Amino acid sequence: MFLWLWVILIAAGLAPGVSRMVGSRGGWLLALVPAGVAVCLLQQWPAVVNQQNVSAAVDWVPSLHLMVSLRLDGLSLLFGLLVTGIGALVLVYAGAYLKGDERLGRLWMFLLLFMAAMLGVVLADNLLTLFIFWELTSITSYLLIGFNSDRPESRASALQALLVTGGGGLLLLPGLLLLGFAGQSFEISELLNHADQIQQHAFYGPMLVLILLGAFTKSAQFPFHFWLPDAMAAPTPISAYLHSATMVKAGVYLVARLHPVLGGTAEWFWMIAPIGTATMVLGAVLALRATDLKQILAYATISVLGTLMMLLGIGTEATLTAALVLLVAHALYKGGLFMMAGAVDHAVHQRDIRLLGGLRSVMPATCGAALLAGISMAGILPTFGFIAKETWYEAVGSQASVPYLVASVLSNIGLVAAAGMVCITPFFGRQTDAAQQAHEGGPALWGPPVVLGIAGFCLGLLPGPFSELLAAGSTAIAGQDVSVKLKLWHGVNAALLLSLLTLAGGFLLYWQRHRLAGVITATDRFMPWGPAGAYRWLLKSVNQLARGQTAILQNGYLRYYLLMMVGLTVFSVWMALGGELSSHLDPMPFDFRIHEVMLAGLILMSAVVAVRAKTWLLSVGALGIAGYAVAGIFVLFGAPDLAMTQFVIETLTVFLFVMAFSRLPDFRRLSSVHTRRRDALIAVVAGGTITMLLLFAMTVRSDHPISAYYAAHSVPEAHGRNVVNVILVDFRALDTLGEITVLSIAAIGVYSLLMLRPAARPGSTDSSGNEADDSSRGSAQRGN
Amino acid sequence: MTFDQILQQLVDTTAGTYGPFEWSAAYFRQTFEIFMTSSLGRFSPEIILCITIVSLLKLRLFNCDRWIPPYATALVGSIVAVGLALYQFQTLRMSAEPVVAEFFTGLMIYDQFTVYFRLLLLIFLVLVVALTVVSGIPDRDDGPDFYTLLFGAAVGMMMMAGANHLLILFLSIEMASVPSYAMVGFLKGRRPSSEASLKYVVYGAGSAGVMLYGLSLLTGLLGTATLISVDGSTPDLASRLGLVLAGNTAGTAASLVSNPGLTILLAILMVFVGLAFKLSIVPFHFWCPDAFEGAAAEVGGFLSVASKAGAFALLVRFCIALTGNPDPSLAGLNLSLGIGLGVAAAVTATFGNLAAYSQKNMKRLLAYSTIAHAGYMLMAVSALVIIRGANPSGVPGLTSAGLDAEARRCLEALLYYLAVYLFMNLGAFAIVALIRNQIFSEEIEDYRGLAGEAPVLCVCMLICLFSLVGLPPLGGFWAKLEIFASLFQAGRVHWFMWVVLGIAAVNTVFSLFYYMRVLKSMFLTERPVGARSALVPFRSAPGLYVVMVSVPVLLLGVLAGPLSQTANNVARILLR
Repeated sequence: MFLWLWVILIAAGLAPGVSRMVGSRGGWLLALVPAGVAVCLLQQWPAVVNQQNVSAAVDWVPSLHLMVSLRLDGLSLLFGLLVTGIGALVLVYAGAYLKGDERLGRLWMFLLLFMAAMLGVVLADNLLTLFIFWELTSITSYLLIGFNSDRPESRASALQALLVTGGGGLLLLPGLLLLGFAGQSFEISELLNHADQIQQHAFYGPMLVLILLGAFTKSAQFPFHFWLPDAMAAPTPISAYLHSATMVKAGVYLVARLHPVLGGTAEWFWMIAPIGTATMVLGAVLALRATDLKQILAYATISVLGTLMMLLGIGTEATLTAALVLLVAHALYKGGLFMMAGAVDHAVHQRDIRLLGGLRSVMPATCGAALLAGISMAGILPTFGFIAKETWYEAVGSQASVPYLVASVLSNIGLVAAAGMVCITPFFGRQTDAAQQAHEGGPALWGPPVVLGIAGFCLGLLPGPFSELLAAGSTAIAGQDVSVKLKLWHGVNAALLLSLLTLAGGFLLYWQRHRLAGVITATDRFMPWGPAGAYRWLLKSVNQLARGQTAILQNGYLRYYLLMMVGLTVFSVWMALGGELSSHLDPMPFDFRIHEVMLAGLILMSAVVAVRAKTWLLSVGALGIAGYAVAGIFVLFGAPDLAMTQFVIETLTVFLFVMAFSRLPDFRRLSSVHTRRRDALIAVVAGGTITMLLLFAMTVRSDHPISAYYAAHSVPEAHGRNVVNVILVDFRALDTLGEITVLSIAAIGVYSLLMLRPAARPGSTDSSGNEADDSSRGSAQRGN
Repeated sequence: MTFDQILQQLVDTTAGTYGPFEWSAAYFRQTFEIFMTSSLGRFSPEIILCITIVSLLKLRLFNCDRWIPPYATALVGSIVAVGLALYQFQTLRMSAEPVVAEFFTGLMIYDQFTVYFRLLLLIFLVLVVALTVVSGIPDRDDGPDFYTLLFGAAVGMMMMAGANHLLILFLSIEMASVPSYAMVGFLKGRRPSSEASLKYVVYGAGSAGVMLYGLSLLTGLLGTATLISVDGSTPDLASRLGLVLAGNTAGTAASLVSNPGLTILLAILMVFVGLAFKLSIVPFHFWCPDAFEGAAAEVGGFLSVASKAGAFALLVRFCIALTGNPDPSLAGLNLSLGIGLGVAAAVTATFGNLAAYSQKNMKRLLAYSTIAHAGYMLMAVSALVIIRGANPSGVPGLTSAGLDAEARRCLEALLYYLAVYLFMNLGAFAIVALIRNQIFSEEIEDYRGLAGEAPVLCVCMLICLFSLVGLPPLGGFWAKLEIFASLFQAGRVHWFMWVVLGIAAVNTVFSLFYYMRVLKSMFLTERPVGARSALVPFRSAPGLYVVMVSVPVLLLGVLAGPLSQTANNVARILLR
């Protein structure tokens, strides 16, 4: 099975070369690859029908217990055949559609990549493997949509398509993770045995919601349906393949695949069936509103996708089977219809049905393909579409769920009318101006849709052998044995009567469709309030929120940033200390000596002077005095070495400050009185808080002085009796190493500065001066 | 003792350690192996970097940089250091017994974790130096200065990974910060650059001050500054925390005020301020967008990855030291610590993603994305703290061994994330720098239609950005997956981690939007007429460089096994 994926991937790698060497006919060559894979899949038919599932696995990330495991059962086989079979036709079709375009090779490559990803989705038996292939379909579809760069407005919609499906996919991941944790396995075949445990799990609700969000966005369910019609900006081969036959069905596939694990509960029914029904009806209604050929097809696809979801949501054996039958029927006729629409577009450069008509005489083959597919879409005897509709009505009807049946019939009436709009309007009636210059494309353009149409007829006339596979597929969805007996003619029963009613209603609607124009314009007003509008509003308001937040939090003022930091520290200190402070802050013993008080007063005074000073020099000097006073306190409390260091550092700091500040412009007051008052308040609060904290910390006394360790280990380990020395030289050897490095770097720095000196004087012409001259010029330039 | 005697003693000791001198490969190998077990040997990659710094400066001093370009010196130095670190890593991996050793008398610690980060940082350093060669910043005059700063910061970051003492914690943060300030302001002619640098300095000084308060409080209260004592001879944070908080120092308990826990919590909080500044965790992230926008993209790439990696190593060391005591009376402290980190992580990720949404400048966007990613990675640390602090009997379905395995998983997630992040973020910044060299702009608006002219840059950007989102099959996917998995498991200890998981998931979806905006600009729009062209063919130094950086992103996505296994081993030895 891995071989199949590899073969397709290798073909993808070869595609650009094929395009360069063979040209647009290379499509026939490349189509052999998926066709071959389809044949291999067909070889597995007998085994799969007899419930002998084929599987393969390799270790991937052992530490995560992750395997890439593939498994072929009825459902995967069915999907696999669709993916590869229709894929082969699309490759041929794409060759003709983009004939002579230099991007053809890339298109083939991406189509094949997508095909591998999609085949991976349906074959995967591991949730994470499935997810990886799932997201690969998103990425490849992005690359595919990136193709069309003719209209700017279409690109925005293409992006939106990817954002919706990609975002949904990312929500799917936590859902699958929850499922995996709840079932204690990531193998789907393993999870089937833990269905009860998973449905009892506390996270059953969240995981279901997340997984369904992923499936709904991918399969364009209400309220995420708006991306699909917009994605029609992509070239038609892509629409035919991704947006009708395969990718949008991935969501349906996922729901079907997980039905035996997650399904059968009230939550399952209520989360899926109503949304599916709403999508079904909405899609049919919107299809009637549209005038663009591909838009009509897109909305009709949405309607069918909704139906599939609804059938899976209801979840009886009959509805599950019906879903599979409808899925196959839809893939056959809708793929064909999209290719037909592409052929028309290719010939006439026009997709608006109001401007199309009478193409029958100039494009007979395309017209035939359209009719073949259209009959199936309308569900007319003897096509597979008819069988699908019959099974669907029967399955829903046997549940006695009247609302769902009514909705089904109504949406089908809409679809019949839509079929008429797509397959009759452009080809019959008066020939329009646009149609007159049209001419039939090559067989590669009309061949694939005809093949699909004929396949629909064959399956309709001889559904017998196919039932076996459908039974195997339904068994995989239902999780128990299901037998399927498909027949074209059931005799006269309720479903047939409903079918007739549907057809009659549909034809009436199609015939009288111009009367709907008034209704359509009336509803136009509500369109901005739809989900697409909500999506745009969401994007816009998030943008505003983001801007607002950034403007408040990240306003670029350093003082504000510092305020935030100080404020947060003060806040957290008071949050923690607030209640405790009064009980623990024992009155400090006031037995100060007079010189201590004087030193403290000196520090305070110099701090005030530093703030109030009118010149840099005074301010810096005052800071220096404060530092010296602190050093004095160190002396008083018996730490002369610390005091020495402090003296040196203070001297150096003041010196450096003076050097630096002498180059700065004069001291100016840039802040208002108000700001200064505010700053003073902040400073007092912050300083006070730290003081409080230190006072509080002094009440907490540890009985483990840090010096004990050094005192004890100084002699035995370092053979030194001067503890301070030993600490510096032995225990802190690393510091010494660092100091050596810093000193050497500083020495080099000083030396370079000394070397620079003579060069600053003009007229020095000795040999070493030249070099230095260069570098000083360099720095002068940089200084500018 | 006269000098001769001292010299003689030195020779004797050397011979005693290394055996009598002889000219043979065996002797040199043996000497090398013994030397590598000494403190200096264990510190040798850092020492090599220091030597490189000194030689860079010396070479310029004697005008040798005319013949030996500074980048060559820098490349050689960093590659030699990588070689040493690789040797250390292999030795540790092959050794039958897990090696955990203190060096420099307990100031630093040498184990797989230290060496993993060392290797990561050094490989990154080589890549950054290579990037500066390709992109041409700095010019030849500034080369020695720039590489000195770069290497100095790298030494600080490597020390962060090996810190085992509160003093080294502070020193290494400062050592990494000070050169960073200068590097941000390195584009001397540009005002935004200087402004950004100034903001960075002042903000950094403020947070360092707060951290220093915290460190001295903590040291004073606990009477020790050693994070973890390997052989138990020195008192370490965990044991002292137990003594002080549990109050089981029979007889001396009276000397303790009843509520030191609060002060300790505050002290820890203040230490976290310093770490949060380095990690750009909200609300200590303010410097980050300004600094990244002002600095050259090369510097931005370096700071966003290396400084994060070092700070995360330090944070993990600190957190493991704090949660090392299994005493149940400390469970409360651990829990509040873990939840605090979780809240900070969730807020950071959300803020970063939200702010990135409306950015127009690519570097600023990447800066906010860096903040968001720090949030994701912090989530792994918070899960680690929560799991380590858990009482095994209090968690249904998890044994004590199970908890250990989950704690390892958290750390593995972090280590994996950092390794992938190295490549994907550097890739993104490098591409920004290389595009800047062509079109002299870093605005997303100006990237329109670049895919047609520089497909290799744009496809690599796509790989890096999709990996940053966490889309499979790229490295970022596994990284995020592992973090999500560890959050889920931590949620079994405390439900709050599930909330964090939810926030992380929503954030991931959200991040897709702004990364896509960049790609849309590159891929889906046409190059405006009259825009500067940016023709970067595949077979050019920039083209090969970006491929070299983004291929690992792809590889780590397809072959996640070896690295995650390595990360797990590192975690196992650290958490033993």
